[in-house]
Amino acid sequence: MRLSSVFPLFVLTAGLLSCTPTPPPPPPPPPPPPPNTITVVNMIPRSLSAETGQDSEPFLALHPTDTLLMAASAFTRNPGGAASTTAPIFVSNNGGANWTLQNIVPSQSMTGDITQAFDRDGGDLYAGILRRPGNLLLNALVTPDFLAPTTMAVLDARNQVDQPFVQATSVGGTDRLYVGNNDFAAGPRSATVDVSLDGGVTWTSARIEARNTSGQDGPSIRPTVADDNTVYAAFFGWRRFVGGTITSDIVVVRDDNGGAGTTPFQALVGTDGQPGRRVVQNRTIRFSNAPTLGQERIGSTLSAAVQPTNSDVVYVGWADEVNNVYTIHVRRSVDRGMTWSADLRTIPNATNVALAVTDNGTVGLLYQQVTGSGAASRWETHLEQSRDGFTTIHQDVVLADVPANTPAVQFLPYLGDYAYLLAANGQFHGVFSASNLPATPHFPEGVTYQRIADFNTGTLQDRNGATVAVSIDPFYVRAPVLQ
Amino acid sequence: MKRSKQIAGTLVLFLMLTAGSSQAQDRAALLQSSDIVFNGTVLFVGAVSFYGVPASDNTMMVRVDAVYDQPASVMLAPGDTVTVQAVDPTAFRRNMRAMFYTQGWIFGEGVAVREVGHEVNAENAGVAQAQDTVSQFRQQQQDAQLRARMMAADMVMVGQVVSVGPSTLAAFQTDPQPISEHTPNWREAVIQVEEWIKGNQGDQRIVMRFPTSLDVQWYDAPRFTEGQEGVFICNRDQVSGTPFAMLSGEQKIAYTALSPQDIQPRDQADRMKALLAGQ
Repeated sequence: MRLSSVFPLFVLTAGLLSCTPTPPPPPPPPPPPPPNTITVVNMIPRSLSAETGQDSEPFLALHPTDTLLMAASAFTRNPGGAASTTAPIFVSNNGGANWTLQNIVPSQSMTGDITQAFDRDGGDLYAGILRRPGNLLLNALVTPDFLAPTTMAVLDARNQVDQPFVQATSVGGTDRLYVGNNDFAAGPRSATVDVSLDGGVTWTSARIEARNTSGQDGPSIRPTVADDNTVYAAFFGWRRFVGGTITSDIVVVRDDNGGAGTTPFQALVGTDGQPGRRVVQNRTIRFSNAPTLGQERIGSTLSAAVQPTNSDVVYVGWADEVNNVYTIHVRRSVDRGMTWSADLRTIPNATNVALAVTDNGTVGLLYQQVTGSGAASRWETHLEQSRDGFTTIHQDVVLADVPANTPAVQFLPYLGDYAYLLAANGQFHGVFSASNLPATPHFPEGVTYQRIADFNTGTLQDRNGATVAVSIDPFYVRAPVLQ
Repeated sequence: MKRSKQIAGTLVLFLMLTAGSSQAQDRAALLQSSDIVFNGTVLFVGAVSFYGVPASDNTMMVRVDAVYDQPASVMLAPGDTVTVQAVDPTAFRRNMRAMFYTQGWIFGEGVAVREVGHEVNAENAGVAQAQDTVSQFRQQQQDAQLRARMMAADMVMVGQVVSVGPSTLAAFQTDPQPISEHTPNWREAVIQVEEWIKGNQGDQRIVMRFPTSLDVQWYDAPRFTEGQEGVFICNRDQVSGTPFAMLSGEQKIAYTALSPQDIQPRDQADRMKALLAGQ
């Protein structure tokens, strides 16, 4: 073939090759999930290494079917600033090893309170927030895809509601939601569980306080849902309030039908014939809305956890005053809340109790305790495990051991009015907040930072190498369930 | 020529240099809705720049060529690659340069943003000029926000705090007040009015009710101290549940100023008057 006849073909081929669009690169592969050991991860992403906010009061939700997907929250601001119309959640796609911040919550820059939960099947993420601006403005929210950039939709809104605490399940393909809250509009018997049996389309407010109160109940109402749709809720029944000191019962109610009956949460009856079993009565609790315990306020820590596959077993943890010392107590019922053990755990100078129970009955207990005194005081974050209801503490690990007096409090809560713990897929998954000063002794089980941190110099840095002030960050923890 | 007109003129001139004067208002609207503004070059359409961003036909990898505006904690820099979720990905092609107006979406190993809008440009011409223009717009935006705040307020006045004391809410509240960690813990400041800028004109002293709680709901609300001077943007109290206060034995309207923007330095009085007058 002559060159003169080949050349045009060559040119045409070269031209076609040069016009062929370069395909986009494939998505970056996911970093590996955490190893099957105790893992602690600082949740602030690398791109926000310069942030210095007090990211307290964390919460966590696990996807029902994809064990690598998680959603978490804290008092974290939208990096876009005070005028932002959305607030963020934290998202992990790889089992908590890495976290991103995504602005999908409809609230100005941040929320007043926030908790969230996935359903049990489709992966809808529900949230209960106190929206800003607003004065105790409850919003119940949903998104069918928490990875999408779409702002969460509002399902329900109501004023004068405190501490929305969301739990969710699914029955026959329909989501059921339980939002514990302190509804001042229902006062003086304010303890409430908002129930939706249709994925948030309609709601019923179940008033769960049957006894006289001091004018209201305490802020914390904690529902917990078992696989057979038994729902418990624990709350502080305030009987007296004098000069900042409360006399309170710790009350547990139960519903055997997922809140679907005509008299919800009345399955447990107390010795006085009223709905709700009083785990303990007339406990003294100092309600202090000022820095009191290691720069933290006190008065409302409460947790309830049912064994998912055996709804006869339920744990409750709370704190009250023992010889003027704020003390966590943990008790258990094995007969559906009718009778309760004595204290299984008693932990002084502690708060943010968070309980979770695995399918096989292993109980996890997360809490934060002040040790030492004065300038030497420290916050220790513990995770305990027991296979026998705390007859034996089979494992007690310190996840964080940090100074209690630094960094200085920006607002309250300093670490949170709650931390959170879940049990799923052979792991305990939890979140807590603590000082982010990068020092190896502060994290006895080790820690992974995404934000730029120099553990040699003990400094946080921005991308230009400038030192960033120490603050409070949220941390994720994952621990294998003891076998 | 007044400074605001100079700013507007510069802005319009810059706009005309790139996309024509008819787009001035559109650009202002884009800036209004954006918190991350940068010049960038499209590397790939249908791709993402870091793990954690859901890839789709709408996502693009964009190289940052110049940054004009961003929140302090973000720190994007030229050379960074970001993910942009485009409004219309068919408007983009590889190697195209554009001014991107965006909102922060995902912050992880890198940054992903949602496009508010964009303007195509061939060169990164006048980077310094563009930076100045964006900065000037942000100042105008702050002025507009302050003006809007004053327009919506019940009154604006120059004054000095003469006393601070306990709240007088108890004189009006018959029902017990809720107790929660979000309780505001109100106190009241009495402000001596020195000059009215908007509203009232009758009282020489007004009562400003303010929260003292450190709770997350209130901690950034302004506090008041005796002797404090300033320009105060006030609203009738619609938060505490009681719009009245007692002052020297008389019932008065209680006011609040709950945003940090509601307290301005005293030397801003003339500027605020001009803003309110629309100048």
